[in-house]
Amino acid sequence: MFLNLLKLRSRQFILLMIVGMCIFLPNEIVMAQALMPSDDEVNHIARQLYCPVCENISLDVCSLDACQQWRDLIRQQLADGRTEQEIKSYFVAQYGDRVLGEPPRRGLNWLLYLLPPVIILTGLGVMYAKLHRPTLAQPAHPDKRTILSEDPYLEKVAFDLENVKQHGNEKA
Amino acid sequence: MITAFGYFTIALAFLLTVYGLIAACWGVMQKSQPWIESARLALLMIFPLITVGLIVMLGLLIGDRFDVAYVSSVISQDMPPYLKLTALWGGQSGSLLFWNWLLAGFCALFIFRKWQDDFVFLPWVLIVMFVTLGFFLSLNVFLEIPFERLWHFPDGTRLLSVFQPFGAQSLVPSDGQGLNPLLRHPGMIWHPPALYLGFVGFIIPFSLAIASLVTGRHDRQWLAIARPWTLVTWVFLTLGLVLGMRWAYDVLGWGGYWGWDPVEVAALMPWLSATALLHTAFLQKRRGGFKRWNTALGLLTFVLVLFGTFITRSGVLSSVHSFAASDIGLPMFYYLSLVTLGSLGLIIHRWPSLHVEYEPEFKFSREVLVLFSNLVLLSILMVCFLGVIYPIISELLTDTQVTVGPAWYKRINGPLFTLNLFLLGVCPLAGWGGTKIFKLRKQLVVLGPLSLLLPLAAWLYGDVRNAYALVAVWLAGASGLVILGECTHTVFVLNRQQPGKALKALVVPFQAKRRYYGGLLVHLGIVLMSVGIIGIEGLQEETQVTLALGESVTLSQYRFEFTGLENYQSQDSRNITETVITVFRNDSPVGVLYPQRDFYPGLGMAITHPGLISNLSRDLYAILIDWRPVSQDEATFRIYINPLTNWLWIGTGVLTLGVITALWPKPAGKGGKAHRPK
Repeated sequence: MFLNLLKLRSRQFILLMIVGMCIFLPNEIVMAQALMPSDDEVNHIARQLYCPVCENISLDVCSLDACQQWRDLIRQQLADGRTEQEIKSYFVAQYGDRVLGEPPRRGLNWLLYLLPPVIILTGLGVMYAKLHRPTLAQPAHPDKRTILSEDPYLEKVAFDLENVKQHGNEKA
Repeated sequence: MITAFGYFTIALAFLLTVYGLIAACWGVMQKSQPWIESARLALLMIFPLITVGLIVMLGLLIGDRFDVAYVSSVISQDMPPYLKLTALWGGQSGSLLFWNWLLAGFCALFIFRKWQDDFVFLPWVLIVMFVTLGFFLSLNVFLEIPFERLWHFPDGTRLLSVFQPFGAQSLVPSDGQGLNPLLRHPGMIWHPPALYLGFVGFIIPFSLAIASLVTGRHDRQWLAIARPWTLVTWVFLTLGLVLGMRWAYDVLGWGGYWGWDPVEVAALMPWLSATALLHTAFLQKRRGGFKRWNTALGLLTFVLVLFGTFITRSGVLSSVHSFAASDIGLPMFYYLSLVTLGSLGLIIHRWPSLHVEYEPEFKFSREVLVLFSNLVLLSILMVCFLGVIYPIISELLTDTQVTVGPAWYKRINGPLFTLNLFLLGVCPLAGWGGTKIFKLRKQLVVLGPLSLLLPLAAWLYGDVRNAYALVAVWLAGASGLVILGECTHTVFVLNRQQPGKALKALVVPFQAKRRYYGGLLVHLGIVLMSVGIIGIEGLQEETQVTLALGESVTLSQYRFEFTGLENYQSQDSRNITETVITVFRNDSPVGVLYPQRDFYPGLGMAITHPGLISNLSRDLYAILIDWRPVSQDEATFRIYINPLTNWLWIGTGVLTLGVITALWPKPAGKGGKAHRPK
């Protein structure tokens, strides 16, 4: 019955198909385009990667053809639904850790993350240990006049300030 | 012939360093002043000799002498004359010659001063300078010779030599390779010379520190001599770095100014240690003490200069700044090791005698804050050093290549720079010898709420939601207020003292306390520079988009409409694509951007010139990434909004003005004494 219907109305059916294709095909393309990741999404990941050829230029700004291909690869993988982490892992698996702009936190690389706080804390500790003494060889408040007398300008300003204080007091 | 003459001048200069070194050593051993005087004259002669060599080299560059190997490697006929002159420092051997010229100039200028009171330092300063000049000149004389010509033999073999080899004919290429397109920019005129001046000048604190260690004269005299020279060198280095930032901003096409490239970091390191030195030198001048610290910093700064030079010239690390691979890597490594180990050995040897006269107590005082800020500067320095050498360590120890990029530097250094901004703001509040915090309540009551206005404005009007940026904006605002408060306070005081003479009150403190107010201006400059850096690092917005003619994209409150594209061939055979973007804000036009892309077919390289509309609150910045041929008139742009970036350049101007104020000579006789208290 249905086939008969098809036979009977084959012309109309084909016409319907063509019209349908005309309506839906561009939509399909538009949908594919909408799914295609934007340059900004690609750059967000590319910024964190360095190609092995370029000299300290991150992938998002490098103008070499090879880098353009890498960016296209990122775009393709994003379109395939891969996450940022998966894409980065893919590049690391292909080309090694050097593609990452920031060394991954494992093994010897921990030095990069642990040493800086250790440096500044040690520095602070040494500074505190050296300067915080219960008894001091020098007076805790060195006589300001002796220090100021080394610099004639400061001496003058101290004198001026002293003057102002006195004037102020007199007025008060 | 002229090339042989040029070579002869630098060879003679090298021989003079050898003679001077022997004369100075002999003078020290025999305690003979005439020998030391003779060595001094030898040093003064080196500069004019290298100047003649340099003029010869410039003549070769301007005269398109393509038979000279260096000329044909950096010059092409289509380059404008100013670029031909700058090509002097566009390649390894030429830039070494330029480096030697500046080094000899700085040394001669320093040696020219009167030495009556400090004669004890002179022979050792001379020895250090002769060794340094001798080493760098030897590179120019034996390994990287700028005057070498191209020769060819009848059998087709080619040779580089200053003098004509037997049986060889001169080879004259019709045109040279030309300067790397990245270097064909007005930035090439100022950035390298300023940076080089900012490097070579640190030989002065270094040689004086060595002289003080060897002679055992550890009082503050060496530092008093070194300080103004260090300050001048420091400001050149600052200008060199900032000019490089501006160049990168204008050309490299990533919307930024600093890429944490190893060579950039290597140039920042001596800046950090010199900044630390200038601060503790001031402490030693005022309070005595800090001898070990200052001597170590004086030595370290120049060692870091040599380290940076090694990194850039040896090819050990890849960078956009590096020179082509060269034979000078190994000698430079030996020299760097010798200087480092020698300095280290000397300071360890003298460590006990650099005894401490004064150490401040650990409390809220200016000296402790300065020390703390020094600690932060040196921590940043160590972070930078770690970042530069870590890729080498990783490859050596684990055979793994890694990249230490901007993300790591920003993560680690960001908080440290912010901490220093805080210290810079707090420091003027603390007095010498200590201040009780509750005594500052008046200032804090005014400063606290006032300083919060800036982050509040950023939150309300700038739509800033980045907590880190808000904190940084607050700190910059507070620091700026403290400095301005410090300036105006004295003005008010003097104005009250002599009412009605407001202008005089404004001028007097600057006249009488040049160094202090110069210092405040330098700090204000740093705060303003920080504002620019916070803007671009914390508040930058960007998008990349492909537009057809007439289409537009909206970023933040701005609409960017692609309104034109033109492609043409320039006279110097560049293929230039110029685009036009009209910018609107609330549908009223703001201005027009002209992003451009120059393609150099011979070299297969493209250089971007961003379009820029700049004012005090933001830069609108667009780069032409790519464009389709005329049929579609479609182009891909990367558009940035960089808030507050102009303050980075303005701050540099204020900083330079501050250094000039601090260094301005005292008025003779009357001026200095006129306001002296009776």
